[in-house]
Amino acid sequence: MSWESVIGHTWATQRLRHALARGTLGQSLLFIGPPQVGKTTLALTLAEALLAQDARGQALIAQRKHPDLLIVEPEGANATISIERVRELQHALQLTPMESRHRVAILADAQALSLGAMNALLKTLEEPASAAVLILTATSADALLPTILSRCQVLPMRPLPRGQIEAGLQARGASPAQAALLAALAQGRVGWALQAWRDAATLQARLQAINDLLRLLSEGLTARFAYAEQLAKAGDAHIRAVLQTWQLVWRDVTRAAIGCVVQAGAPSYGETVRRVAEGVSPETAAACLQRMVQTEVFITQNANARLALDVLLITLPRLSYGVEPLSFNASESEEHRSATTVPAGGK
Amino acid sequence: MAQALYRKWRPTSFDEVVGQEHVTQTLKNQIASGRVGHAYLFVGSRGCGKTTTARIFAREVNLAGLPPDDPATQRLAEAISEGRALDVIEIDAASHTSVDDIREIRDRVNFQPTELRYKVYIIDEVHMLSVAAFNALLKTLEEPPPHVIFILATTDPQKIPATVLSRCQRFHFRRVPAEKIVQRLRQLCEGEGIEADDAALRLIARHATGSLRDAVSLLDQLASSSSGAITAADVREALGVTEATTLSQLTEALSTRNLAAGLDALQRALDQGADPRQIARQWIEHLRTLLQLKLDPTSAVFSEGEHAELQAQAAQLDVEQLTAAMRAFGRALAEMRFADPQLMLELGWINSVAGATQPSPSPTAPIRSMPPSASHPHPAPATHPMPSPAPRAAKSAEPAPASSAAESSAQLTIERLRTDWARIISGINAHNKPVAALLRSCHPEKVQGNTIYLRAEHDFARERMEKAENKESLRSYLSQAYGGKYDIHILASATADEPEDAEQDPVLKAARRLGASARRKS
Repeated sequence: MSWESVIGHTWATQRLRHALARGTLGQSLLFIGPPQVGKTTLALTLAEALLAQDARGQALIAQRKHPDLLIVEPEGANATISIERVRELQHALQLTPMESRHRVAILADAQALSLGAMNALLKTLEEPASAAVLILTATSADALLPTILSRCQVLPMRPLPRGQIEAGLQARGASPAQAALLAALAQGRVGWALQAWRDAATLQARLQAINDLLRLLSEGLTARFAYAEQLAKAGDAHIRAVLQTWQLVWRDVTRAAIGCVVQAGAPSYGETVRRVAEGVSPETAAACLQRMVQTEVFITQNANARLALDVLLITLPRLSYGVEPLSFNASESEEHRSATTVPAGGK
Repeated sequence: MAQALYRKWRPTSFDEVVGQEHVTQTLKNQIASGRVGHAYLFVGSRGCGKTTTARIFAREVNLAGLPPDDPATQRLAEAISEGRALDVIEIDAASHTSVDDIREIRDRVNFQPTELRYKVYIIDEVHMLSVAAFNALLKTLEEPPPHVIFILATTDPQKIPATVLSRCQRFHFRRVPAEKIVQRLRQLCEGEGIEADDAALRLIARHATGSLRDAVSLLDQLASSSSGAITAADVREALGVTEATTLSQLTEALSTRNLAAGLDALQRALDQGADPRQIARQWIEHLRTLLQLKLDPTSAVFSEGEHAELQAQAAQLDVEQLTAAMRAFGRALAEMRFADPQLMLELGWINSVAGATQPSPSPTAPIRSMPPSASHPHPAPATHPMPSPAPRAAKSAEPAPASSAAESSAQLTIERLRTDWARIISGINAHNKPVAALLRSCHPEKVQGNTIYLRAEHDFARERMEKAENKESLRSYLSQAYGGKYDIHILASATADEPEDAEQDPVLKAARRLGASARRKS
């Protein structure tokens, strides 16, 4: 897990490596970025640089079993990090390192810390034991106490451009066509792309959500309501995943409808976006995008899923033509593989 | 492992504490005159010097009156500064919240200090104590033994019971002003041998919003990871803020209502590593500045060059556009907590352009465009032909768009007609309510030369609008408003030629029975 193997985030890795080389790395670090963007990977890479002295150490860190590496993750039914866990961590950080010169604690998803736990952490973050390094990761700065933010060196990690994910996947042995499609669908989350590459079901689920959307666009309300009914039974997590996928596609549709350049990556995906955008006015596209986001917020806030989905599907425009479902095929040949851009779409 | 700069450079004397003279001076005077209280509460936002001041106070109060050059005194001072002194007890209330923790303090309070004059208890993050713990503290806090001083520090005084507040001397720590932060950072840079541009330091200070620790943390981070001198670009990268050019591009795009150009500008900023939240905040701040300049062009808070540039930008936009955009982005910023921030940023942009394009038919608009004395039920449309919004006419020096449009009818475009449609309806409503009602069911479809095509939502509206007198009413209003003569064509509703929907969809059928009409969007 060397620095070179981290996909993207060159700015963040450069900073960390530089600080390591000069011995000026802070003791409290905070990586902020959306889920699956590579925060934990970067944290583990940094931990390896700090702790591992040989291949054995590297292997232990990869298995997350290094004696000087402490990892705290949300647990339990409501996925929180309790104050007890933080106290255990504080105690463990006081101890002298066993094998290396540091003790590294990774607090994954620090936004899951309970309020008490966050407060309990303040003193440790401000004045940690001399050998301790704390690495917090969080999905958003808003979810943390400002007092935590002001005690950490913050490294923002943004979703990656499609090109970087594509290159990263190819470097790991994905075929160009595969890499292009995965990058197009990854929302800049390199973690998702890697997972989908290894596990066909993850990719299939996302493709399924997109194809459902494409099908519904040319269907009447009867079919749409039937779909809403079925989807509403699938549970909030699944609904939100579907809605996020739709937002990803519809964002590109909206951009195409408005006349922006869309860096589509995969030609088949770009074609799909262009086809949909042809039949949608910019205003409608924007209104639908808004509605999709709103629906996701409603679901998060415990609204009636069925109703929320019904309203969304009523708002969705109806196309007079069908759009070919998106599929993963290897036939996307080399000659037009280079990142295609979608020209300005329909009026 | 390097010690954080904000720890290394923690002030060790009252005079070094930045921006809190009102607190440090009072404390110094108290020590000098021997009127030291027994319980203090330090309140202030993060990173403005509460804990630091508490530690300095603990030292000064114990060393007061001792010969400063005596080795014994110096040994004590050192011990306190390094946190080794047995009689200066710092408690993290956030991890010792329970009543038992407080009972332990209470039991030990009665013992005499071992080597110092006062036992000083510094209880940090005191707002986290449980209610029972606070109550257990009350008696001790009110009447501690003479050798004990309590210093409570918190960022959150609302969470502290009134009974505790009333037993403490309360000191409010202010946010540190930006220029003082810059001074301090400059000192620190010299001490640490860090090279940094003035612009970079100013940017850090401005972003720290009064928290010195935030500023020093950021400087620390930048210094530890950049190879040469710290530049404003480094700071922008670390903070995820975007350059001023993005903002002027957005202003340009907003004034021309160019959705695509704005989205592209945002995308470029994001690709350069800016954070969606920061962009939204910066943009709102920028709009606020423009609005301020618009309302009071003399409000010069900028350098000459900036002022002219901003003035030019402000002239491109009217008050409505500015407020609509601020509202749209304010909402987007709030919703970023729940949804994908980048998406919300882009939607905020789309909404701010659309919001300015299609103003909701505000009820005040027609009233304001009437003469002030008008109690007349039928104000002649000729006196105020174009219901242009009052604020724009009043505030801006540019010629009202109505008059410029009146000069040549060729300027009446479909976009303009759509923009003004709600105002046109309310203008007609003032003297011909039935036609206005019909027009609410019609939407401008296209403009070809002097022919205007309106799409009726349903057949009723179309049939009625076809009548000569109704058409004439609209026609005369339009020629008064925009000049020129217009032909008006009413098109049948869009759904009329696509009846299959209605046959299949039970909901549509039911809706039709209730008198609704359906029309295809787009």
